[in-house]
Amino acid sequence: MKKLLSLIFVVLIVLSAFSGCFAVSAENENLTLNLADNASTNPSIKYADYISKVSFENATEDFTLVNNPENSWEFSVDSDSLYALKIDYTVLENNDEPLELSVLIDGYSPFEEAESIELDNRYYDFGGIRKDNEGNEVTPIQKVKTGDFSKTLMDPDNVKEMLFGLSAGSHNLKFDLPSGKFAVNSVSFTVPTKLPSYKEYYGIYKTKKRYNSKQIVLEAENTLCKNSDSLISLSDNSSSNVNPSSPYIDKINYIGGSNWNMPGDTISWEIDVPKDGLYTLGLNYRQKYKLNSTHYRYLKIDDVCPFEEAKNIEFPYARNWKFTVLGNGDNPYLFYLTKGKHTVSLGVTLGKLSGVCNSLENITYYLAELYREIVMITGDTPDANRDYDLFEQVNDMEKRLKGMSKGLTSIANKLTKITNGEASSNVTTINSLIETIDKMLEHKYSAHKYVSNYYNDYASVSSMALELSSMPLDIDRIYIGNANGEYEDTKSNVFSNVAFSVKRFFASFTDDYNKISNKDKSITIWVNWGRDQTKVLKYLIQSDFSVKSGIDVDIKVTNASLVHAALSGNGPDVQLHLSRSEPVNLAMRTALYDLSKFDDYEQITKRFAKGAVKPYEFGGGVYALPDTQTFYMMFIRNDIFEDMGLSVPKTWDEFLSVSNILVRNNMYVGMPYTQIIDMNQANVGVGALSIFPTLLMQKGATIYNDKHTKTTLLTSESISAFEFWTDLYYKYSYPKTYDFFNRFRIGLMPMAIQSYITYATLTAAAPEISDYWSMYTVPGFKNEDGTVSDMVTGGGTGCSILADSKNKNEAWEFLKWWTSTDVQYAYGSETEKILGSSARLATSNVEALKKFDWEKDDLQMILKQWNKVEEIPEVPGSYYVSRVIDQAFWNVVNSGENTKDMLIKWSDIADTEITRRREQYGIK
Amino acid sequence: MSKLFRKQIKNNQLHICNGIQMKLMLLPFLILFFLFTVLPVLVSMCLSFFEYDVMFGSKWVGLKNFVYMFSKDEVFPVALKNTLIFSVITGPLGFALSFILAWFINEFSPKIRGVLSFLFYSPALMGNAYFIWQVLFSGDSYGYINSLLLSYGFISSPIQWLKSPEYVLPIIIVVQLWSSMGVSFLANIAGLQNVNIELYEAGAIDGIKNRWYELWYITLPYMKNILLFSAVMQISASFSVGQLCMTLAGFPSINYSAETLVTHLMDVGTMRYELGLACAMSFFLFLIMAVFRVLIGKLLNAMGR
Repeated sequence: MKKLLSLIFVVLIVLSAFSGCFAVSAENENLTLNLADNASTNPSIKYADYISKVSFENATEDFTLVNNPENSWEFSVDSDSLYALKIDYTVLENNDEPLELSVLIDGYSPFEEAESIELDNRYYDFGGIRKDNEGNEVTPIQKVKTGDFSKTLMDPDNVKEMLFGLSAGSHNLKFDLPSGKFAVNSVSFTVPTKLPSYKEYYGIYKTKKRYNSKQIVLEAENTLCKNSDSLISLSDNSSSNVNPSSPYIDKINYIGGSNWNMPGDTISWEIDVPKDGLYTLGLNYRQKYKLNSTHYRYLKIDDVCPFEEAKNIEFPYARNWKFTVLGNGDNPYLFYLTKGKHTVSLGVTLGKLSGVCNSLENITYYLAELYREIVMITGDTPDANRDYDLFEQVNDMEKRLKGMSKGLTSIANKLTKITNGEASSNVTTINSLIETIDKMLEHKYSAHKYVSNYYNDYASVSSMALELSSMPLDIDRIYIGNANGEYEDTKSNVFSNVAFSVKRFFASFTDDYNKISNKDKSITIWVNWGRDQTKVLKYLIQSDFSVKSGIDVDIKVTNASLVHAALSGNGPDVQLHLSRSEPVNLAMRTALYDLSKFDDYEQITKRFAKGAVKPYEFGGGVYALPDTQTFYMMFIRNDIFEDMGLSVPKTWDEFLSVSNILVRNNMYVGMPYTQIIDMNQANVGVGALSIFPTLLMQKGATIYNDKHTKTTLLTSESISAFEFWTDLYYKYSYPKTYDFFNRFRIGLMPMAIQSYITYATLTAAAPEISDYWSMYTVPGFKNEDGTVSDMVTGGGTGCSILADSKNKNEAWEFLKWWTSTDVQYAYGSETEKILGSSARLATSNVEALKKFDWEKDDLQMILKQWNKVEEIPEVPGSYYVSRVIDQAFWNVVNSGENTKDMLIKWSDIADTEITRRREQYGIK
Repeated sequence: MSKLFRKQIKNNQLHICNGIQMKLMLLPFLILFFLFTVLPVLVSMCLSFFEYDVMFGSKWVGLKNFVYMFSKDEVFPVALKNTLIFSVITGPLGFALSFILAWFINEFSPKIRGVLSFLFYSPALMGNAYFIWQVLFSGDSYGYINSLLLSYGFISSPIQWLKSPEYVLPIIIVVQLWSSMGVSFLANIAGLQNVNIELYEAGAIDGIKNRWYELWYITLPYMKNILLFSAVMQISASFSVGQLCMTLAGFPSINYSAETLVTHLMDVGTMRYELGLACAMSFFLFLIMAVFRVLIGKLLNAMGR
C-alpha cells in the first residue's frame, strides 16, 4: 500500500514537471494573438476589423451612379481599390423616423454597420422659442427639413470616411430602404479624401488678408440645423457666464447637453462673414460631464473639413463655462473665409479615442466569454481550497489570458498617451484588470481565487468603455474673431457674477412655481415625478391641451397622500400614475369618481389593451384609466444558447430542463421577485411582484372568487402553482435578489424573466451584447389537449379623477388627452430626449407603444405578449394579499415549511382582512 | 434669621408665580404644548373607542377595538411579545451601558473625554446612520459579514441575516443599543461632572474604602434625577422603536419577526386606515410605558440604601 502511494506520488511529480515544461514552451510561442480568432460566436464582421483586413489601395477616380427607381446599380471597377461613398437623397415628408438603408454590394453587406446606414434628417427649430405662463423659455419644436441633401458616409466613430473595398471587375450595388420616406437620387463612389495638415493649409492661405476688426458673435442656441431631434437648445440659469442669462426666469441659452454624445451627432450654425480674409474661431463651452477627460468634435466649414487637425478639436474638462479659441496650444488656427454666409458644424467624434474604444468594446466581449467558461467550472464563488486546474480545463486559457493582458496593456498605454501621461481613473480601472489577469497567470493553481476580482474588474472596465465613448458637450456662443485671436468681453467679471447670485437668491423667494392664470376653467393635477418629466408634461399641456381645449392646468409635484388631501378638501382634480391598488382603495372610501359615467368612456378604453382597466374596477364602476402597463417577458442570450445547443423554452417543463443545464454549468436563471419591504411595494399590485400570479392564471386558477369576497388560494390548481413557484427557489435555488443587468451582460444569467421595459436599459447601456440577445414570450403550462396556456399578469399605474373635483368634465377631457396616442408618444419621446432612451415610458396606449423606437422583431414579440396579458382585479384589502403571499413564500423558501399549511394559514389571514374591509365599508 | 430669609424667598416666589407676566410668558408654550402634545394624546384615547377611518365618519364601538386587538388580531401578540423582549433587553442594558461608559470616560482628562464623548454620541447625531448596518448584514455575498464568513470558509452560502426570523431580532437589538446610547450617555456624563467633589473627600473621611462604595453611596444617589431622566429616555426609546425595524428588516418584516407595537400600529393606521384600532394600540402602549416609568422610579429609589 505504501509503495503504491509513493509510486503515485513520483508519477505526479514527474507529470507536474512536464506540465511546467509545456508551460514554458507555450510562453516562448509567438504571442501575436489575434483576439478575433476566438470569435466563434461573433456573427459578422465589424467595420473596424473589415477595414484593417482590406489591403486595397485608395481609388484614383470618382464615379457616379445616377437615379434608379429600383435602387440597384451595375458597375465595374478597373483595379482593386477603396472608395468612399456619397449619397444624394431627397427627404420626402416631414417624419421624424430615422432614414435607414442597408448597403448591399454583390448581394451582401460587406460589414455589419453597412446593414443599417443612417442618413441625416435635418431638424430645425420650428416657430422659435416658446414661453410658458411664467415667462420661462421653452425649447422650440423640432421639425424635419424636406428637400435634397447629400451625405458622405462616415465610419461608426465619425473619425474618417467609411471606405468600401471593391475588387477589379463588375459589381452590383443595391440599397434596401423603406418606401415613401426618402429617395436616393444618386450614389457617388469617391476617392478617399486626403486632408492637408494645418501647416499645409496655412501655407496656401497665409498671404490672404488678416481680419482685424470687431468680433462677430453667434448664440449657439440659434442653430441652422442638427441631425437628431434630441439635440435641443437648453437653459442654464445658474451662472452669468452663459448668454443670455437671467436670474429670474429660465432662458434658453445653450445647446448640447448630455444628448450630444453619440458619434455623428452634428449641430450646424450659419455665420455671416463680413469680408474675405483669415479669421479665428472662439467658443464659449462647458464640459462638465466627465472629470479630467477631453471630448472631441469634428469641425466642418461648408460641409468640408478644412484641415486634418480640425477633425478632432479638443475640449478639455471645464466645470464652468469657459472661453477658448480653437488652436494648437497658444497658436490659434486661422481659417480662410470668403465674404457671405457659411455653415459651421461640429459633430461628435471619438477622435483620438476611436481605436481605444473599439478595442475595449471588443475585448469586453471576450473577457465575458472567458469568464463564462471559467464559471462553468468553478461557479461564481469558487471554493478557495479546491484545485480546479483551470488552465487545463478551459481551452487555451493561458493563451487567451496573455492575449487579453497584452491587449489591455496596449489600450492602457494608448490612453495614457492621449491624456499626455496624466494619470486618469480610466487607466487605473484597466490596470486593475490587468493586474488580476497577471495574478491568474502567475498563480496558475489558485487562479480560481481571482474569479470574483475578475468579474468586478470586468464590470468596471465595461461600464468605463461605454462611458469613454460618450462625449457630451455644451456650447453657449460661437465667436468669429480677428486673426490675432484677441477677443473682448468673453467672460463676465466677478462683481456681476456675485450680483447675479444675489439676485437669483432673492428671486427664489418670490417665484411662484404654481402660478395659475386667471382662466375660469382650470384643473389641478398631482404627479409624483421628477422635475424633468413634469417639465415635459407642462410644455405639452401649454402648447397643446390648453390651446385646444381652453382649459388651464396647474401641475403640482407631490408625493403627499391622496387620502389626506381628499379629506381636507385640498385634493387635486386629477392624479396621474397612481399605484395599482390605490384606485380601488380610494374608491371604496368614495374618494374617486366613477369614470364609466362619462358617455364616451367605452370608446376611450379601446386605446388600451384588452382588460387593462380591470384592476381599476370596483362595485360596477371604473375608477382609473391605465396610463402605464408593464408585463413580463423572457430575456435570452442567444449566443450562449447557441453555444450550449439549447433552444428557447416554450413550456415550463422545457424551461426547467434548460435551467437545469444552465445551473449545472454554474449559471443562473432569473425570475422576477420583489420582496415587500415597504408599504409602497404592497401597492404595486400582486401581478407585478412575482411570477406566482402568472403561474396561477396559467394553471387556470384565480386569486379571488367571482364575487371578490375571498381569496381562492386553496384550490388544487393554486396549491400546485404555489408549489411550482416555491420549488424554483427552494429546490432549484434560483437567486431571489440579483443584479440582472450585469449578470445578463456578462452571460452569467443567460435566461431571465423580467419586465419588458428592461429592454430599454439593456439596449442603452450594454451595446457590446446588442446582437446577442432577444426577448421571447414567457413560457406556459402544457394543457392536456396539447395547447400551451401562456398568459402573463401585468402591473402598472392609473390616472383618476377625484370625487370632490368641481371640474369633472374638464378633468375627463384632460384624461382623454393624456392617454391619447399622440400625447403618450410625445411625452414618452420628449422624456427620452432628456433622460436618455433607458427612460422609456411603459405606456398603456397600444398605438403609442408601437411608435417608439424598437427593433422590429422585438416589437412583434412585445405585442404578442401584450395580447396574452391577463390583469388581476383589485379588491378591498387586496394590498394585504400581496403581503400574505410574500409571507407564505418566505416561510416555505427560507424555513422549509409545508406549502399547503402555509397557504392555509396565510390565506385565512387575507380572508379576514378582506371581510373586515367589506364589513367596514358596507359592501354587499 | 434663616426663617426670615426663607419666608422672603417664599414670598418672592409666590409673587412671581402669581404675576400675570409670568403666566403670559408661559402661555405660548402652554398653548403649543396643549395643542400638539396633550390634545392628540386625549383625542387618541377617545378615538380608541371608535371605529374611525379618515374618509368616513366615526362610529362608537365601545371596547370592540380592544377586544379585537387581544383576541382576533394575529399579529398583535407577536408585536407585543417582540416589543417586550426588545425593551426588557435594550432598556436596562442600554441604560447600564450608557452609565458605565460615561463613568469610564469621566475618568479621562477633559480633552480625551471630549473626543470620546463625541465619538460615542455620534451615532445619535447621525440620525439614520444605521443604514450602515444594512451593508454589514446584507443578505448577498457582498455583505461585509457574509463576505468575511465566506472567505474564511465558515459558511458556504450567504446567510439572509435580515430575512431570517431567528437573526432579525438580535441584530435589531444590537443596532438599537448602538444608536440609542447617545442622549442618556450625554446626560450621564453631565451628571457625573456635577457630582460635588467635596462629597468624595467627606466620604473618604467617613470610611469609604473603594470606588465601588463611592459609586454606590455617593455618585449614584447624587445623580438620581439624571439617572431617572436617562432611564425614562432609554425605556421610551426602546418601546417606541419602529423606524429602525422598518429600515433594517423591512416593513412588514419576514414572518413579522421584527414587528413591534409601533410598526404594527403604523401598519394598521396608515395602510389600512383603521385609526380607531391604531389608537387603541397606542393607548395600550402608553399604559405599558407608564407602568414601566413607575417601576423605574421605585428601582432607582432603592439605590444607595
